[in-house]
Formats: sequence, C-alpha cells, structure tokens
Amino acid sequence: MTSETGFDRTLYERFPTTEPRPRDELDELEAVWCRPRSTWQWMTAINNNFVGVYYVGAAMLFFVLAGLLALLMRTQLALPLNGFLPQETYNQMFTVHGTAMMFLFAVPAVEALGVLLLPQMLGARDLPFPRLSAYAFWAYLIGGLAFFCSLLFGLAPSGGWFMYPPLSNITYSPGINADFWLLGIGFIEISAIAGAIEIIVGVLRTRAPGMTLDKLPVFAWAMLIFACMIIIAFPSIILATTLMELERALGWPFFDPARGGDPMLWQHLFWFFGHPEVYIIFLPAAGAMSTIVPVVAQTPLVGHRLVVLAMLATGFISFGVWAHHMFTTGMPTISTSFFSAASAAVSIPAGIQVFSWIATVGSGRMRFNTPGLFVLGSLVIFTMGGLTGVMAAMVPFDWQVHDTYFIVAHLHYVLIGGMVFPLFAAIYHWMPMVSSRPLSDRLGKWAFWLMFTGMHATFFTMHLTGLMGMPRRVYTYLPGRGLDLPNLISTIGAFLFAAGVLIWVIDMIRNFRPFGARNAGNIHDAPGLEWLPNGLYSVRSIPVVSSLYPLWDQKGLAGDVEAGRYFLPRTATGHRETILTSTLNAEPIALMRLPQPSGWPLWAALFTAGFFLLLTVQAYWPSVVSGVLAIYCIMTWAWSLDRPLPQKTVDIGAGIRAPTYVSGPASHGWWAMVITLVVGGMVLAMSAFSYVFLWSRNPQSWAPPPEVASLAMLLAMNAAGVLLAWGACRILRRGGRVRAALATLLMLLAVGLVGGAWGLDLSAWLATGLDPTVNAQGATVYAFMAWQGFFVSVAGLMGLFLLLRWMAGLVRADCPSTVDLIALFVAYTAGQGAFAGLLLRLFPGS
Amino acid sequence: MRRWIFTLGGLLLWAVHFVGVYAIASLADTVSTADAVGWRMAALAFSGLCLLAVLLHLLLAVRRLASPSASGAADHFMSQVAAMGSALALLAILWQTLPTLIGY
Amino acid sequence: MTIERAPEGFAGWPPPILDPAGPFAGPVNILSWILFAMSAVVLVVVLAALAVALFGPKRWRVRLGGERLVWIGGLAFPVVVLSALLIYGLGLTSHLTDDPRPGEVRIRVTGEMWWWRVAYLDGGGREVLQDANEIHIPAGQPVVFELESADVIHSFWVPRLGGKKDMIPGRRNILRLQADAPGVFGGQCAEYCGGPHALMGLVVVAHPPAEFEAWKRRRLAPSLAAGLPSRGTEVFDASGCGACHTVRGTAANGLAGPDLSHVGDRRTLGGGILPTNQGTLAGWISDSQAIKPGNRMPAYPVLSGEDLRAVAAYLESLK
Repeated sequence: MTSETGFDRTLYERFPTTEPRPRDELDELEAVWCRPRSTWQWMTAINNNFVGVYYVGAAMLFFVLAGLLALLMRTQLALPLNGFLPQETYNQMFTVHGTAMMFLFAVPAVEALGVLLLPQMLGARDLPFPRLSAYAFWAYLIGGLAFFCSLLFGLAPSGGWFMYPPLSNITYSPGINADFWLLGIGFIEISAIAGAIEIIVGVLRTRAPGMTLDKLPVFAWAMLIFACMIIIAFPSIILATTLMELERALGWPFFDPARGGDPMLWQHLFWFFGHPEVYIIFLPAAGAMSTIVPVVAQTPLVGHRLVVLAMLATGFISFGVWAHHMFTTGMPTISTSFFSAASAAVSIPAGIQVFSWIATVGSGRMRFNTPGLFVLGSLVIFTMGGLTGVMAAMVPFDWQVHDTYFIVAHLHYVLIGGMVFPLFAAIYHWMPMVSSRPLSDRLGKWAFWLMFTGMHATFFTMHLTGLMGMPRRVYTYLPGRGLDLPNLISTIGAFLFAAGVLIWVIDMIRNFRPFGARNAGNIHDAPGLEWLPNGLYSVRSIPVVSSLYPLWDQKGLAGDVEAGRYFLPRTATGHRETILTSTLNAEPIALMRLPQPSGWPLWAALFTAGFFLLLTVQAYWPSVVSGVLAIYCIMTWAWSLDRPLPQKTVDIGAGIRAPTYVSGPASHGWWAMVITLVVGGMVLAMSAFSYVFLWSRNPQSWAPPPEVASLAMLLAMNAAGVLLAWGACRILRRGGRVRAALATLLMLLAVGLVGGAWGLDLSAWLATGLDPTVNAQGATVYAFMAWQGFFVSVAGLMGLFLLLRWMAGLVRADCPSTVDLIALFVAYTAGQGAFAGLLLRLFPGS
Repeated sequence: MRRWIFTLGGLLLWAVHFVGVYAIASLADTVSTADAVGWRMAALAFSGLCLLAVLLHLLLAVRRLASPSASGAADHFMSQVAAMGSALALLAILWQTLPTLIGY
Repeated sequence: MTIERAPEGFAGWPPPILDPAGPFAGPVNILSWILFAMSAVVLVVVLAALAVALFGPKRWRVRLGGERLVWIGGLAFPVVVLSALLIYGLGLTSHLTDDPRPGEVRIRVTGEMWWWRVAYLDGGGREVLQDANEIHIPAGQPVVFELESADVIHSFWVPRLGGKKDMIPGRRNILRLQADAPGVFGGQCAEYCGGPHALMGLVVVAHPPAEFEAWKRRRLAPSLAAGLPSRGTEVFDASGCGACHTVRGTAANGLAGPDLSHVGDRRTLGGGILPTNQGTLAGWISDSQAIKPGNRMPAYPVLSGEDLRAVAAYLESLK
C-alpha cells in the first residue's frame, strides 16, 4: 500500500510505547479539557461531550412534544365528528407534528448522535469545529422552541409540513403563521448544514491513525453519507423557502400561475429535498443498527462491504425518487415511470442491510437485552414499511392510496422502524458510554413491548383505514363509513406507544447521569473505540487502529491507550488539540489545534435567531439590529482563529513530529469552506432548474435579455476578480510586510471587481424594465440577482474582515488560511456571477 | 479525489443517466409530448451509452480487483465497493431504461 | 344539527379500493392483491430467516450466517421480484393512461374551497350544463374528466372507479374513469386544501346511457319550480342568496357558490356530507358553519324558523 501523504507507516510500529509517561501529563490534559464550573460555562461549553448530550436531549424533547400533539390528534380522531379539537387547531397540530418530527426531531437527533459519538468512535479528542457545533445546537434549540411555541399562540402554520402553494401563499394563508414555518425552518436548515460540514470534515480528517476506509466504523460511514446528502439536498429547501418568502413578502410570482409561476415548482424543490430527507434520517439509524447488531450478537457484521455499498447506493438513488410524491399531479407517464423504477431500485440497498443484520444474528448468539429487542423490533417494522413502500412505488397502486391513511401507515412504519426504534436501541446501547449508570434493562423491555405493540395497533390498522378511503390530513370523518372502529383502535395504540415512551422517560430520570468523571464502561463488550476508557478529553492517547473492531482484535488496546502509550498522550502545546489525518488512509498530517470554549457562538446563535424571528413578526428594524449584532459576533469569533503557534512542529508521540499549522487542502478550514461553497453551488443549480422549469411553462412570455455587450464586461470583471484573488494567495506566501499589504489590496480589489460585476449585471437588467412582481421571468432573474447580491455582501464583509486583520498585523505569510479561504469564496462568487450572467442571457436566447 | 470518483463511478453514472433521461423526457414534453417516438429513441440511445460506460467501469474495477498489484486491504476494499456499486448501478440503469421500452 | 350517517355511495366496507366498479379500478385491484401477496411472502421469508437466526439449531444458523444469505436474500431475491413487478406495473401504468378518444363524454370538474364545480361539455369543449358536487355519467363507457382548480390544489378521487388525480391551479389534468354498471359512487378530495378539507366529498351517479341522455335533456331546462312565486322565493331573493348562487330561470345568477338550479334533485348537500331534504337544507342555511366549519357560506341566524322552512321547501322543489 503506497502512502497517501508521504508518511512513513513503519512509524506505527513504535506504538505502543514502552517508556513510562511523566506524572503530570494527565493533569495537564484534564486541566485543558476541564469541566464547566459556572452556569455560563455550562452554556458556553463546546466540547462534544456536552454539546452532544444537549443536542440529543433537545431532539428527544421535541420528540416527546411532537408525540403529545399526535396523542391530541388521535384523541380527536377516536370518534367520528368528534369535537375535541377545533378544525383550525387540528390543522395547525398536524402541520407542527410533521414539521417538528422531521425538522426538530429526526434530523437533529441523528446529527446529535453523530456529534456525541463520532469523536470517540474515531479516536479524536473532539470534532474539528467545536464552536460550530455549539452554534448549530443553540441556533436549533432557539429556532425550534420559537417555532413550536407559535402553536401556543395559535400562530402556527396550518398548511401541512409540505406547505404546498397556493394554500400557503399570502392569499390563502394571510397571517404570519406560514412565515413562522418558512423562516423557522430555513433557520434550522442552516444549523443542519453547519452540523453536516462538521461531520464530513470530522470523519474524513480526524480519524485515529491507521483507520483506513476499510476500518472506518460503519456508523461513521453512515454519518459521512448522511452529511453529504444534507449538503446536496438541503439547499433545495433553502431555495424553496426563500422563493416562497419572496413571493409572500414582495409578491414575486414564482408559484402563482396567474403571473407565469407554477405551484408544481414548489413540489419539485420541496421533494427533491423531502424524499432524500427520509434516507437522511434513515442512514445514520441504519448505521447505528449495523453497529449494535454485531454487539448484541457478539460477532462481526456479515457483509460489511456490502452494507457500506448499500448505504452509498442509498445516498445516490434516493435523489432519484422525489417525484414519487407527485404521481397524481399529472406528470407525463414516462416521467413517473422513471421515478417508479428508481423507487424500486432504492429498496435493494435496504434489503441488503436487512439480510446482513439477519445473517449477523445467525452467525452469532443473540442477547435479548433492551438494545437487542429494539434492534429486532426495528428490523421487523422497517421491513414492513419497506414492503408498503414497494407497493406505493407501483404507480397505479399509488394513484389509489396516495394521500390516504395507507401512506400514513407506510411512512410511520418506515420512520419508526427505520429511525425511532434504532434510536432507542442506540440510546440504550450507548448510554453506559455517556452516563455513569446504564439504563434499566427491565424498564427498557417494558418500554420496548409497549412501543412495539402500540406501534402495530396504531399503524397496521391504518393500512386498512386508508384502503377504506380515509384521506390524510383530515380533522374528522363521517360516521357510517366503517371508519369508526379502525380509528378507535389506532387511538388506543397511540396511547400504548406513548406509555412506552413514558416508561423510557422515567428510566432516564432514574438512571441518566451524564458528565460524570467516569462512565459506566464497556458493559456490552463492544468493539468500537468509543468504548475505550475515556474522560472529557476523549481517549488518554490516540491509538493506532489496525482493525475494524479494534477492541475485539487489538489485545490490550484499552490498557495501552489508558496508559498513554499511543499518539498524543498529553497536550503538546498547552491547548486543546487532536490529530489531523489524511482522508483515505488516516495518516497523521498535523496537530490540529481546537478552540477553547467561548460565548461568541452562543451570542451569534442568539442574534441569528433574533434576526429570523424578528423578521417573522415583522419587526424589521430590531431584526436588522439583531442581524448586525450576529455578524459582529461571528466576526469576533473568527477573529481569534487562524493564529499560528510559536512551536512550528511538536512531538505527537513516540518522537514523531508534526506541524502545528497547515494551510490549503491539507487544512480542515479549507475543506469546510469548499463544502460550504458546494451548498452555494447546489442552491445555484436548483435556481437554474427553477428558471428553466418556469420558462418551459410559459416560453412565450419571456422578454429578451439585455444586450450581449454587458455580458462580455461581466465575464471579464469576474475573471479578473478570480485572478486577483489567486494572486493574493500566491503573493502572501512569499512573505514580507509589503507583500502582505499587496495581498490585502489585491483581495480587496478582487472583491470590488466581483461586486462591480454584480452591480453592472443588476443595472443592465433594471434597464430592460423587467419587473420582479409582474411575471415569473422577472421574479427568477431578480432572485438570481438577490442570491448573487447576498454572496457579494458576504464577500464584502470578508474584505472588511481582512482589512481589519491586516491593520492588526494578522495577514502574514505564516498564516495564509484566512486569505486562502476568502479567495475561495471570492472565486466561487465570481463563478456564480458569470454562470448567472450566461444562463439568463443565453437561455432561451433572444 | 480520483480514488473517490473511481470508487463511486458506477453510482455517479447512474446519476448522470437519471438526470439525462429525466431531462430528455421533460424537454420532449415542452417541445411535443414526453413520449414522442424520436425523443424516446434519443433516450434509448443515451441509456445504451450509459450502460456501456457502466459495463466498462465494472470491467475496470474487476480487473483492478484481480490484478496482483492491488496492494493493501484498504485498496482492495475500495475496489470491491467500486465493482459492486457498478453492478448495482447496472441493474438500476436497466430498470430506468424500462419506461422508455414498455407500453408503446 | 349533526351529521348522523354518511350519504349513499360512501359505505366503507368492502374497502372501496378493493371493490372496483370499472376498468380503471379493476386492474389496480388485481395489482393490489398481487402486491399484498408479494409482501406477505417476503415478510414470511424475512421473519422465518430471523427466527432461524435467533432460535434455530446451530447447524442451521451456521448455514444462514454467511454473506451468502445477504447475496441471495438481500440481492437476488428482491431483484427477481422487483423486476417482475416493475415490468407489470409500468405496462399497467401506460395502459391506464391512454389518451381520450373523440366522442367520449367530457366533464369539467373544478375544485373550489371546499366543493366541486361541475360542467358538462359538448363536442367543442363548451360548457353546456353547470352543476355542483354531484356528477352524472353514462355507465359502460369511459368518461373524460378535465380537472382544474379555482384556488388551491385539490385532488379528485372516486376510489371505486379509479385512482385520483390532482387539480392544480394553472393546469388542466385529464382523468378517465368508467363505471361498468349503474350505481352511486362516493368521492373525496384527497389533497389537503385547508380548513374543512375533511368534509369535501362528492357523488358520482352512473346511469344506463339512454337514461343519462334523458337526464341531461331534463337538466338543460330550468327547474319547473324555478321562480314560481312563493314565500321561499321571496326569502331567497331578499336574503341575497342570488349573489352567490345561480338558479336558472330566475334572477339569481351568482357564481361564487354552487349552482342551485336543480339542488333538490341532488343526493347530497354541503359537498357530499349530508343527504338532501328539507330538514338538512334548513339546517345548512341557518348555520352551515356549525356543520362544516370554515366553509364560505355565512350562517343566517336572522331567518325565522318559518322563513327557513319556506326557503328549504323552495330549494327542495328545484328538481
């Protein structure tokens, strides 16, 4: 095997080291990674041991709250024409139930599980951007609570979690209820994307040395694919919510057919996010299953490579199934058939995983403890949900059952079997790692059986209710249609399920003791690195991994790790740190310095939330103030980053020296920026799709673009911007104070050129007299302008930031990362401007 | 990056094929009807091309698996994933081609 | 007043999806049973494999516990089953979406919040007859529905006759349905359309073809009772009912609400939720908001009992 980075892998043979470790090493490590002491410190903690627990806790809070809504709804539906809940309240409740379960529970819960488990699983001390995790968590918690509380004031949206226009437009949803959905959810998506960036970089760049991709734990694979899917799918919903808000607030007609828009555009954008979303939720849970099954069966996962492939394939194919939510919209038959075929294909990977779990159980000896039961329950429920999924993938069958309770049954089977049960298995399984006491196996079994029985009583019955013709999203139904009994059974089942959850809550209250000095230990005899003895600093020393199941195969590993006989047995620089490794073979590249706790992410989250929420309640000036404060907080937060240490290289263990600063593709910041720009690129791609889609609806109404001369200028300016930005990076690296000043100047010029190109483009369009409120062409063209304007503004802020750093003497050849990242951003912005200029002028042509 | 593209090659080709046939049908629907004969033939040709490309990728991956120079468990693992991914993509593309063939 | 029973055509048993009444629903019923059977078989196979894996004798478990099981159970088996299903399903889809042929009866149905505007079209696509919430069709031949929406997205679904299709603003969707024999078939809006979406039903009545023609001829003329002087007509006019409703042959020509020209002849009231009779008509007029909260018709609590009975009697006489 050739080396990826030039690292000499024979150096691994120096571990475990034999010489005794200095006595005060551990104390230093503990001091750097110390527990929070005051309430403020608890709130500003950024270590994954804290943020991960907060994150999972918040997600479970929303699970319980959204579950309570389900109970209220089931009570209303227990009898025909029941008057328990008024119609509008019921409509708000099912909207909030769906929205909260998807956006506030499912995605955050699995993301939280990743934040909590991944560093330990990968043998890292923390995730690469702990402050970003803290920001993502607080943004999510504040946004989520505000959204949920809108229900208490009757301000919750009532358009369904899918928010189809025209029902959700200003005519049919005149209040601010729908805006709560749009802005609240838009905001939470930003948090999800922040988490995804964190997870991708974490899995690819902070693995324990030697953990090549074939030794990467299956859960980490799942989280990696999950995070990539978020990066691809979420931009679509961000665009959709932005367009909808533009239509609601400014009257830009993206979805209004009277002015050339099309409500179908929303459905495409929404489901391009919405269906992958289901797999986004499912994959991490499946990864957890594939991790837990080998432990409860005490044998390696059968077909590990097949399972990894299955998850990768799911990641791809799930993007080809979005329109199976739209079979009844009158799409051309041939188009629906493509989606039908993809929907069948996506069930193959699911089958592979199910049989791999069965084979694993068969080749080991199953332990019927609580995680084991939840795993088995999940397997059965998920299989049933998958089968009804195959049914619904058959177009003619879907025409009948679409939007009926049959689909309600199907989706709950898939989500409860594919996500909720695995999550409970994961909670019971990993609790001993997080808490100083494990959860009770006796209570856990009660919880399982109640949930399992309740689940089938509620949802199996619903298949029949659907076949009997009961549509979804109804606040009541008529007597005499045979629907009374099945609905009553479903209601009773829902309460059984809730009783199971209640028992789990009691169990948690009795036994959940997190943040202790010691956890309950590896009571399951599990093979992953997360079960190594660990403290707040994660592992004492970062092991060299030579197996997929290190604790089973590498004898004495736990003792050696605990004794500090591997990488980084101390804090090498007196800061929080972990090892930066290469993507494929996890060869150590550098020492990554991790930030200390700070209040700025919390403040930034607070003011970002303030910006969105104040905007929702139409308090525009306070909103602007909050936005400016958020920018200030983020800049202050970034100010402390990118500072090289006095020691250029340090000993990371056994005399192996590694640099303390890297830049360019070797650095983790570069990766994060590139991934962020992929998000921007996806929004751009979806915007282009929207533009072409709306054109195809009304080609005759398309006005001619501005003259081509403006295009040449636009392209030239953007190209020059890229060139200057690139030049700035090159010049800075050559060192010297003058060159630093020159680099700053070039970068500012680059920002100016790209901004100027945008201004030119905008004025050219304004000169044509095209109006964003008159037709869909105007709306999409100015949406492109607005999007580019947003990027230009951010580039401008970055330019300001760079100027300030130069004035403070922080633009230097030994820390070029800030300039590199700004250059990446400016170059992307230039490319985006050029693309928009070309598309809008040359398609469909004049 | 090249390693990743090779490992995910089959699935990437599936994505290309999916976008392609969807785009062809949508374009056809704008110009005439989604299942107009000429357009269907174009889609079929495109599917054929993609199938060939996947087959080629599959062949490459299998050869890489068989070649003695494939060194190390990690390389072997990635090549296996590439080969199996290609096989799965082959199947998925075949299914995706059925709509252009059936019912006319 | 409350709704005590669902009107005719809405019996929940046997499940309407599995009780087809025409060639656009029949094949789907067969497909449904094939799918149920397939699912049952697969579920049994999975459960059996799981049972062996859990409790089977060691020898069996060893045979089961290899990657071979994943290749066979997780890959080969589903590929075979799904390939067959897919080919069958795609063929069926194509077969069920044949284009309309010239000469087929065409009916335009427009979804409104929360009722159905119905118009019968002539060969040239012109509306010749307006009605609401009840659709009459000839049995034994395909009928072409042109589905449109006046406000938000609705979905037109008569389960015993076939699958559903959405009504989307700015688009016209085509759905062909056929009832093999005369009968009454309940329908329902399937796409969430806000407010009382739950109470947006309709009725399809299939007649023998000759009877359908006779019905249509009868309907083309105004009702004999239309505009006959009575207390009911007076109240109807004085209360401004004509601003929203049309009664052909009278001055009432409002277009916002359902056409009432032959309302007494319709089987249901309020969008397929109540049987039509004097009692339900009076109840609906006095406080439709209590029956179907959120619907666009205001309550008329000012009308005295006597006036209510009079106007209900008038409406009931519009046959």
